[in-house]
Amino acid sequence: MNENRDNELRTQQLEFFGRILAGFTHDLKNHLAIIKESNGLISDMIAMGWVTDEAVAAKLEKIVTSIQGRVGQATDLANNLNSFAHRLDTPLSSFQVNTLLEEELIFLRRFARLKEIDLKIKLHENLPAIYNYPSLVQYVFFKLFAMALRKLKNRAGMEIASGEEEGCVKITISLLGEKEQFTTLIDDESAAAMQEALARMQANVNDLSQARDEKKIIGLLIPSLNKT
Amino acid sequence: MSEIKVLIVDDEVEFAETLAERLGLRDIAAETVNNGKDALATILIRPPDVVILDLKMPDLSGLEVLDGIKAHDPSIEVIMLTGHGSTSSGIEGMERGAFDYIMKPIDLDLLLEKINQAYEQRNTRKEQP
Repeated sequence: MNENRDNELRTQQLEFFGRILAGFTHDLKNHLAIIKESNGLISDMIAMGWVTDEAVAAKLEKIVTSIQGRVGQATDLANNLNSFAHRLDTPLSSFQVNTLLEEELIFLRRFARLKEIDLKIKLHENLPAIYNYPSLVQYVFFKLFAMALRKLKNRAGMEIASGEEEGCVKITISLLGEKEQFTTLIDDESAAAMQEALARMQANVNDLSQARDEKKIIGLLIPSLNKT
Repeated sequence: MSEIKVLIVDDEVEFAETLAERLGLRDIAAETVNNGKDALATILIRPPDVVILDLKMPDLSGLEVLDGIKAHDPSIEVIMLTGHGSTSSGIEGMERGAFDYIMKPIDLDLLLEKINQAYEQRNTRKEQP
């Protein structure tokens, strides 16, 4: 199979995967909606004094609050997964980089936590929306994040920030504390795919570290493409 | 019981019935049906003030039911229930005459606010010559 056909098959598989995932998350939210309303009905019944034993009412109230919190968290996860699954529906679109980062970091936080990395996030408010490839932005950010995480020793720190520079949106990943030496900003194994993604986004990955600073800073600069 | 009559159209029976019960506890009379055809039949017999309409249903889609309701009586207000990834369908619904849309799982306080606003709008429309 030649490389073009291989890429085409991978793209189609990804689209298929996205559709299936979107369907699952839709069903998941329907179940959550039922749990939420049923839980809400119990809460209503307690509030209306239908549970006469005060101790039982207090216990039920605690359970209802716990279920409500978990349903909220599960809904956020399902919503993010759903947005993620729909990302390939419109490859080129206008979007807020912060929204993509927030959505992706919900999943990535777990990886940082497993390595006990202190993860700080500083997203610049009022960033302009940009027109680009949202799924590629998420892919490139994921690869950079994963690489940074590999380079950091356990219990080190990482700071993710967004900002604006020369009409582009800038995402920086700062590695704090003990880390391995960098030979390259992009891993060899994914270098070709990353370069292709960056070329399509007309974006750049740079080393923004300053010599005096102990921090290693990786910068991703993403422009807004012309709509024509 | 307030004067507002609500029709909930959702193929998820448990969801529709539980929501109707919760609205009932807040003095809003809510009836449920579980498909588009029954919804269109119900509005002929017992016209509601506000319809809460799920976007994705197996027989007629929410948008088709919306068209049917508006063709019969444009003053009946419709609040669409959409998924997080389907906000574009909610916006399309509003372009086709829906009062508003709300995401599932719903925020009941927000839904109550929208029901009251929709009811006021229906009354204003009915008063217009």
